[in-house]
Amino acid sequence: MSALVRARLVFLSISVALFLSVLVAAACGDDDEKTEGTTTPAGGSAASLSGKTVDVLGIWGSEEQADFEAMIQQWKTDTGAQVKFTGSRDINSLLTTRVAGGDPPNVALPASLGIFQDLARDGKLTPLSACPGLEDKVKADYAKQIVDLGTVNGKLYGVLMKAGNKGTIWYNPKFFQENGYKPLTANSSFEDLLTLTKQIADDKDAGKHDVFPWSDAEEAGGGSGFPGSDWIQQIVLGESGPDVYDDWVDHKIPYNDPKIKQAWENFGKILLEPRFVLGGAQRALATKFSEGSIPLFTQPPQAAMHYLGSFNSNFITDTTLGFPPGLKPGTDFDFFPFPGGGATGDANVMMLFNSDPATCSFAEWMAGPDSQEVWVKRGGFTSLNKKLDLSAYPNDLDRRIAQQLTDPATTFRFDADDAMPSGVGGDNGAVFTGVLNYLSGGDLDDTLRGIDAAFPAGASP
Amino acid sequence: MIGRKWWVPWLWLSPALLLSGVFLLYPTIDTIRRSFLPRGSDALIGFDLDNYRFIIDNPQPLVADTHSALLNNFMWLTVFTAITVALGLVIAVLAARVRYEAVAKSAIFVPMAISFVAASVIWRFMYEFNPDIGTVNAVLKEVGGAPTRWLQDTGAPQTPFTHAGPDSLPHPLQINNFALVFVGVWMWTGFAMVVLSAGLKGISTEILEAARVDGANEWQIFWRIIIPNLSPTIAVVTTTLVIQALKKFDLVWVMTAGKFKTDVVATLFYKEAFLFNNPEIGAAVAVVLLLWVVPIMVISIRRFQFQEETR
Repeated sequence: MSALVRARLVFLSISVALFLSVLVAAACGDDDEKTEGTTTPAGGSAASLSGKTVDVLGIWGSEEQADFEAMIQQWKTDTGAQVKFTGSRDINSLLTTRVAGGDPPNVALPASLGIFQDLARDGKLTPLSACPGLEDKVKADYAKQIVDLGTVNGKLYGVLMKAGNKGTIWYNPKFFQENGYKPLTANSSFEDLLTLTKQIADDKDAGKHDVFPWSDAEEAGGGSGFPGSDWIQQIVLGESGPDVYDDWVDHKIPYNDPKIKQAWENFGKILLEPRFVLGGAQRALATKFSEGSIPLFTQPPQAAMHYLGSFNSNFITDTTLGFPPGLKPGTDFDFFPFPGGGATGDANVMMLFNSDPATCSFAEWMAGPDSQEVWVKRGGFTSLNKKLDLSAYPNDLDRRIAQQLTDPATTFRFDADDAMPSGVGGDNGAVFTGVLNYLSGGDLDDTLRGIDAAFPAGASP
Repeated sequence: MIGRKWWVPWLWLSPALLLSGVFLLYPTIDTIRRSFLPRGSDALIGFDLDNYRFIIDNPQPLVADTHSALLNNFMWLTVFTAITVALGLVIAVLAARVRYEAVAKSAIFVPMAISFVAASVIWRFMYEFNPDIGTVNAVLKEVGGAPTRWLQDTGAPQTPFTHAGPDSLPHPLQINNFALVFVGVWMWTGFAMVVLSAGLKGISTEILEAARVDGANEWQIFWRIIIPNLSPTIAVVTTTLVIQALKKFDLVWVMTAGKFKTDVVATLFYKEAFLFNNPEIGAAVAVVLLLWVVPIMVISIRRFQFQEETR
């Protein structure tokens, strides 16, 4: 055997060995994961939790993770238990994979009702009643409609925690005061919103000021069109009420039902009228959602109102997006409730995968007002717990955002597109694309029929 | 002697065969198998044509516009390839005649060195509607035109000064699709130019000089001497670009995510398989793409063999 052939043989065997080791490593990947998760043995009282670890899967990272750590510090000190927290924006696929692989976390907090309901229906979750006293505590602390959202097939499985409020219309209070416009209240109707819009547009045409009633922004990459989808769900909830809203979300009425069509038409009455929207729908389609409020705060302002969820207050105070520095909540920018008395929104849904004492104790702490107050004080947390002292919020604006959600007069419903099946709701889904189509001048009936056709066959009523 | 045994070539081949078997052949067969299964089926094998009917009937034009994706890809295939090859050729020929050839060629080749996702992000900013951010619209505004929604406008390409055109056009003729193709051309012209330029250098100067002595002008030299001598290189470049056009994904996904009817086959099949939880439809779309690529591969392999024989 020549030296060359031998060298080649050595090379070959090395490459085969390398290749095989890659294969083996890939095959063993699951096993590695399994040893990572800590399973807490059952038994023992709350006092003897030291040495126990709760495996928690959430979405928070960096700053928010620090807030979360602050929130659970007290519990860790009291019980002596530890928390193993994994935060990922990609929580839904992570959770699905871990559950399918037989290695669920102890507690998960995704920001999606859809995955929660799927897991509960598949029997993967532990009902809160399995933890002594937890179910009663949640029912005492949270409004019935919030408890209902965490209930699947008559059993309470989830607690809605950190919430986002999508019933907020942002405006420039100084401009409103100077021109005598009154912000709407919870008792206003969509008709009132149209009247206010027309008044501002008429005053603009009469030369009183040069400010359009609305600015709108729909561009969000794969999520483009979501602000429009939020508009529509708010109008459906406010104008047709929660029962129609629920039927619509569950696809018990077709997507092109006259009531839903009416909501889209109302949306179009504002968005498709060039007199009402700065730059018309064309500008809205090409403007980033995070920059939609900028025209409200330029000198002089170019638009009076902008509709986007409560997270918009983070954008307005972010000068890197192009907002002027030093805008103060309440005086420089403010919101009024979306007319109709309803608020849609999303929340982190806390769910349990076992009822070990450590898991139960952790869940009870998280659901309670004391823990949430820690984060509320640090800012950026809107709580749904009605026992939480509203004075904990860092400013009046944040307080009113939370108040609107915990107010018994407000009908709260989860984001509609989140609960619709993939392909219909969510990024790149039919609803978002439908909004873009409608705002681009597409026929409304075609659009609605198109969205209805995107529901999986068999789900059609 | 180990070299004479029948199994020795197979031993050398085995790593490559193993790798392409695991990572190419198996997924291909599995995709084809899956494309014939009814939706959500766990069956091992099926002969269901619903997934292909979905592509033909286009029942969900809002989320998965199969017709528009196929037409758009055809547009990419023809327009992108033609412009890139033509530009690359023209630049290669012209650059060979100037002193600063190296500099000119480097400048055009640079986009090729940027990651495609990064380039797409850069061009998203270039195309921004707001002229304070978007360079293209800022230039337009400077010369007195109206800002154009380059990535959202579903109208026909029009002059920047008369901003009103027909709205309902066949999808591939939309302004936003052309804006995307332009970015593709920007990225790939450098590749075409470098390969063609190398081919150009291979043409013997004797032929060119003989032509000049015979009284041919530069135009005739280009068409009668350069093009025929360069045709194998042009074929290689064209094949590469055609395959690029067919599997175009990153650029469209980053810049528009297929919104406003800019979907191509690859983005459509990704959406169906991985976002909408319809792996069977996704597989069928992938098979259509495969069917599209196969003839092009066959032609290029035939051409390669032909060249080997005539060499």
